[in-house]
Amino acid sequence: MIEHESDAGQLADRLDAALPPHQHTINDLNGDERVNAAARLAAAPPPELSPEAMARMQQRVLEAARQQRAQQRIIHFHMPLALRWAAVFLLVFLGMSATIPAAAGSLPGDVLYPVKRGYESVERLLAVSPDARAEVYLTQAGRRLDEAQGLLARNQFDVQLLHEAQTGIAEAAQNFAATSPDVQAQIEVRAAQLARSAADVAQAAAAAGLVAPDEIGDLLPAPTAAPTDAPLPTDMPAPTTSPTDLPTNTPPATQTAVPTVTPPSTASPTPDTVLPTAESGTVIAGSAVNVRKGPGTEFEIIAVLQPGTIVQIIGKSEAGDWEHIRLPDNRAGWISAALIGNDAAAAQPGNPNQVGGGRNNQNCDHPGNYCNAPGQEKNNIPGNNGSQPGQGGNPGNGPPENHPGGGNPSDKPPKDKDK
Amino acid sequence: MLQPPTSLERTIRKAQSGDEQAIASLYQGYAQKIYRYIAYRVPPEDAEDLTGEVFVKMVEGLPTYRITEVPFEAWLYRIAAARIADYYRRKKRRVEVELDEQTPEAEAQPEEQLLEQQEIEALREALQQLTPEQQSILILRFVERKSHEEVAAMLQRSVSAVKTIQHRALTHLAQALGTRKESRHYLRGSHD
Repeated sequence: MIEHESDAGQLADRLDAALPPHQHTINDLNGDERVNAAARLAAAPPPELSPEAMARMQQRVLEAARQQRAQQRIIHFHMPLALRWAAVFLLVFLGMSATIPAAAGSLPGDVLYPVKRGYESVERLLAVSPDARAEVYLTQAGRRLDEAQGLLARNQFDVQLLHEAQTGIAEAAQNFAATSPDVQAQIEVRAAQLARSAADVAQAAAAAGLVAPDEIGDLLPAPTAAPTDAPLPTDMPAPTTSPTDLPTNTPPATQTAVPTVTPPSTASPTPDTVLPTAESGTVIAGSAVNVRKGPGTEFEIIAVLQPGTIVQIIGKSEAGDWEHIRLPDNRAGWISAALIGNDAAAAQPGNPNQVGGGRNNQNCDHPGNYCNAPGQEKNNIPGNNGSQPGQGGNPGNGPPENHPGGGNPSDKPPKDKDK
Repeated sequence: MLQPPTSLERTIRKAQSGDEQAIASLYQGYAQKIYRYIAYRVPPEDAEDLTGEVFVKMVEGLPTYRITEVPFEAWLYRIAAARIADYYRRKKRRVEVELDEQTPEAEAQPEEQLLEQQEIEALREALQQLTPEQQSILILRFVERKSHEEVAAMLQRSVSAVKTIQHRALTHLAQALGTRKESRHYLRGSHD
């Protein structure tokens, strides 16, 4: 054994002389066939990925990163650990004290109302990612509407609350541009619901003579769409928002008056909603497809999409044979219409590239809005069911099969290759 | 291409928080290396796919990855080794020793390129007859030209263990290559 080890040591020395580390040179090989074999390995032109393969694969890797982020978004605050703990302590402290729950139901003018608003600024502070910010703005806009309704029950009205709600919706829309497609759909629907609720409250106030109609003109979606009798009863229950449990996304007025997926803005003839039009399609080709700078194969290729990738469709070429799309990374490009399907779920069942949710259903009557088929969106409301199975207690983890940090990347068979 | 440790660490941390630019830069920094490692161990038509899998696994594992004194690339090589093992499990260890003749389309390639491919093919087939660990050591040592110490750190073995395995591996490799007559003198460097 010792002899063997010294053999190995001698060979190692000879190899270091013939093939010095960190260099490309090959020196005198001394006729040793083992050094020769090593030299053949060193001299052979190494296999290399083509630039196309590099780009293709990078697309795949980034797509995986996006999918993972979409899964983790809700529970993962992107902030330093210390700050995160501070925030948690603050929330726990505030939440445990009796003040906040009591303040949650307070209305403008109440003693505890400033506490509620203070708590809300903490909420906004905690929302670091665009998704979380959009969520918080919408939630808070919903609270302003609840408050306006609560005031109505007291036969009071504060137009300022509705304007604040409007600002919240606009803020959410601003963050909206940066969110991922599946959240976009949810935010869009909720923003539309809130806008509708704001209009309802405004109309109810006007009907009760609490506000002059011209003061609320900007809150109404379209003059003709305004019903004369508002559906808001005065016996509306007071809002029951509690701080630990984010308010539901459906304000009371909407529950009673509006079908969940029909926002008011669509009542106007043009689909000019506050929010950008978002229709999505899925790459249905059998293999990767090119995304080009313009509508035609003569244009430069700017990206390559794998089958099953969901993209946002933002327009069409004049001839209709090219779709103008927005890539998951927000760049715009063109893709042959024949390679894009509109029904994501049906096009590629089980395709691992699907990001879930946010898909368009062409049967919906209202272009510019996502339609929720019953049961289609399992995680419909991001803020409310943040604990997806396997995620809640396990933040920042990939699929459970995967433990690369532990020195054993994966022993499980991977999912089928999708190439 | 490779950054000094601190900047690499920063990139890793950014990638861990989902920064796409950081993920892309890690990918770009290591893709060719990992591909070389894989392409010497699996047939070319599958090497690209496996390389992609490695980086998808990297993305999935990044949130729980901890920066230690073991180099980051060692982790990637470990993932790659696991993917390769998995690949052969899936293939039920079907080793094709028969050398394919070049297909007619291959005539379109320049002659030199063909020769290069043949040489890589010959090396891959010879390497196939070694154990996975022997293959790893030879590739890291002579394709990547890492020192014994570096390889030992990456594989978390002692330097003398690496030298012993290398000794055995090269003896086998020389035998395996010796049984094949083609591509004998591919060497670029000077030799006796």
